[in-house]
Amino acid sequence: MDFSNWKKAVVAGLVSTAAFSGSTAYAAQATVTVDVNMPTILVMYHYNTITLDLDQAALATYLVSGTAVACGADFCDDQGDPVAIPVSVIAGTTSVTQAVVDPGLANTTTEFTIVDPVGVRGMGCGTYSVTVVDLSSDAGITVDTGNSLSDINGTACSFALTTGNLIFDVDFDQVDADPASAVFDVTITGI
Amino acid sequence: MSILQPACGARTDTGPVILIGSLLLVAAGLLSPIAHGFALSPAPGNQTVNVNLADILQGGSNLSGSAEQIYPLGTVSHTLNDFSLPLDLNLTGSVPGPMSTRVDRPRYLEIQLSDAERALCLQSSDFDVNFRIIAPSADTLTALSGGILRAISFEANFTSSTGGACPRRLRYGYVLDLDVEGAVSASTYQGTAEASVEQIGPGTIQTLQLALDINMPSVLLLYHYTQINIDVQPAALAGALGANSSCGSGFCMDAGNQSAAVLGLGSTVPVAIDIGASVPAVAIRTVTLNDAVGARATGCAGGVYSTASYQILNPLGGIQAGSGTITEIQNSACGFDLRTGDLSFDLDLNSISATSNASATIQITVVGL
Repeated sequence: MDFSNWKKAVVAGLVSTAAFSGSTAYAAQATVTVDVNMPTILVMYHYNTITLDLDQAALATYLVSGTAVACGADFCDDQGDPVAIPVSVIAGTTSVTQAVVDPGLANTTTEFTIVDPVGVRGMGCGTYSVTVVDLSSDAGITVDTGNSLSDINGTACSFALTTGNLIFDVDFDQVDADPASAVFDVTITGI
Repeated sequence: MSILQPACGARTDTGPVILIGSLLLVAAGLLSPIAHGFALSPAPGNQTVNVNLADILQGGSNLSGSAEQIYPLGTVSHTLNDFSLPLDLNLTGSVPGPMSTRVDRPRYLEIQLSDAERALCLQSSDFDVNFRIIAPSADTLTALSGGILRAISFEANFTSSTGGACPRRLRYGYVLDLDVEGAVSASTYQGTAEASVEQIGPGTIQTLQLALDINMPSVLLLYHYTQINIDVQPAALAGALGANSSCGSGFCMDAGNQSAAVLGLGSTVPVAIDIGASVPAVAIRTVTLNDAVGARATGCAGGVYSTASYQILNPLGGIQAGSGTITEIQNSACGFDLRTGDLSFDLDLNSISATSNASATIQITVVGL
């Protein structure tokens, strides 16, 4: 056996191993723990102004219970035809009196329920508590403080949106402005 | 040259004999005394210096000897004021620096004294020896495969002498402090040093250019925080939920104006004005952590970090499982200059808990092949 060749083979093998070990991969790995601390929070969603456009015909029909009829752009109550008015004195200026008969109003009040105009999300609280205050509503408009937003009042806080109804009464017999307006202050508290 | 050639009439088949004779003659020439003054020569032996990992200093502390080293940087806490803005974790400010190494070599230069100087019994204190790097540029060594080492200081120090009480040879080594933050490759950084030797008294100055070779090792360093605390501020969460103003002690979203036509009237009239149509959906928000991971490396194959990635593990309380690439690091050039990258994760606000925090573990992997 030629041992000189065997030695060469061993040397060659060692060199080859060294060459491979020179290309070792370097990888580093570590872990980071992340904690995200969430705050207690209450967010209320609301509209700033809600405008209700009442239909003329609907209002007229409701108020006089069907005795009004279209009359040009508005409505009339025909008091009957003909009307006989006796005139006993005729002078340079003659006064003829025939009062229009008040047919009366069939209805004067309506309860409006604005469905879900207010919402709330809460986190870190127990239940919602609601107060609704009438700030400066015109005559004839009265907020129903007891029933407004009752869907929210007492409900458990949640990130899911909780909505509530706003309820108020309008007495058309007392409304004296056009447009009539009302301002309600809504407060939602997380207990 | 003549000593390497056979003498006239000598046999040409006596190569080994002639070669041995030549070596002896060369050695004798080195040992022969110079006539006057002093002469400079490189100290014998291999001049290349291998830098060990443990000799590299990071902010004054030695690296370990491992090719992969991980540096946890502790806990960092930040407040999140706006989900649309990234948090700057400023890992750069927490990583120790600068990076340097001290190369110490006992033999680099020899001063050979003439018989006349030796008769004066000159000592090392009679010579002022200075080293400086002059090429490829001042105070700089470069590697063919890229990267530089900058000399912070390069001091000569007397190490030994031969010839007894009145030396014939004075040997000097050096202590070279190098800024290694420009190192990129794990290869030989080369340059040319100039040794300037002044004999104090007569003021005789001689210079000699010497090779300077420094071998840098391969290493991969990973920097990370162990704990990241994020305190989400109420305004940030409210903003993510669509709130556009504060109201009282909470937050509101004014959805503007809404109109509805009431076409029929009765004693009760419902009017649908659903705020839900105007409320933005609770979304998944991405939290980005800038400058959250760092890496340094030398010796990457191809000169780049082949992989830089992360995985979101063990997500709780709204954090979403997932993975991502640290784009600022992956495929970017390796080097001892700190390279930092960002992490991010998604937080599903629909799933956050009112009673516990969101949490996750982020596993970071950086590979330099």
